[in-house]
Amino acid sequence: MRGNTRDIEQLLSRLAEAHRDGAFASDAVRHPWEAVQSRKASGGRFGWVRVAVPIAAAAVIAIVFLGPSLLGTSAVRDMARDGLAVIQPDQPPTVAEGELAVASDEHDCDFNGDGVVDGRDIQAFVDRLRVSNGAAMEKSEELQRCLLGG
Amino acid sequence: MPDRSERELLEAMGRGDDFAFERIYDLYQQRVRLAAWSASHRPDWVEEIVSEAWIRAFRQRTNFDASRPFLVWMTGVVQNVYREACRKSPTTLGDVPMQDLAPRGGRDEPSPEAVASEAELLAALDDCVRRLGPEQSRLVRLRFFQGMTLRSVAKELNTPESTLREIRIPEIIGQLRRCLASKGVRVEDVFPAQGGAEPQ
Repeated sequence: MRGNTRDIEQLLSRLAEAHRDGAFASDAVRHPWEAVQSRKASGGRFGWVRVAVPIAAAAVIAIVFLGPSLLGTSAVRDMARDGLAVIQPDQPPTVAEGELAVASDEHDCDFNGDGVVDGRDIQAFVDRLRVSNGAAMEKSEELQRCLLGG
Repeated sequence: MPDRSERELLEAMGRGDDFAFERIYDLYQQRVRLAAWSASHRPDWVEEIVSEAWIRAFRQRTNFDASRPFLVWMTGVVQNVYREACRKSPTTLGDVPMQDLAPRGGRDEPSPEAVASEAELLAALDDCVRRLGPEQSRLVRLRFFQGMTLRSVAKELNTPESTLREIRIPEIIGQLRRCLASKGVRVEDVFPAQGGAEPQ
């Protein structure tokens, strides 16, 4: 039977055209609406602050409570024993006092010295806290203020 | 007509169920691509039109009337995106440059139903072609996809031209027609004027 062959032949040609044009291939983002939602959720340009600040705060808390036992000096063991005593602002420094020279400057949050205060300063900040012995909460609040533009 | 599970998905989508929307996306994304290709005739625009259309559909999913065909609704969204892109952007659609643009929006624009029908038909036909045997598939590829003449195909397949014309091709056409019918797709919806026409 040859009836109605032309329409199918035309359709086959159209199908071939669609294939040639790439109408069947897709390298598109799967679920495109999710990309838009995540962009919204992240808050755009300063969205990283919402992620970075809690991470920094968690890192500070980890260092305050776990750092002394990891560093293992007698001085920090004493601090670990005293627990929250390390956050007392009048606690005398016991180690590496000079290491926080830059960080102790008022509002100087460029901890990695690259001239820009951004998320990359968090790691440098955490590194410095590792060798410091006190004022951790104060410094973290200072960093948080810098990152949030306060 | 959507089957029961698809209808349930569409109803759930209309209530704002994100999982149902993802399932609907999986079921329809190829047909929506074809609708975008068919509506715009701009292969370089398809990707962006489709992405934007799905984003809009997601935002408006709770407005969808589950008793209506989803593909027609989606095609309407696709056509809106395309029309707006033609109006708004004289030089680009996103990052895609517009070359020799001739916007098709206007009175000669096909209805969403017509575009959706063609997309439905092409997607079904593509699936039917994939189900052909290797020899039939090769014949279709050479004759229709590569556009070779019947004489060249006959030479390539080492088969008399008359055999291809009188037997092999009509067999394939019949097989494809039955396959389409089994999917509930009517060729006449897309080629109403040619229904029953005998080729010359």
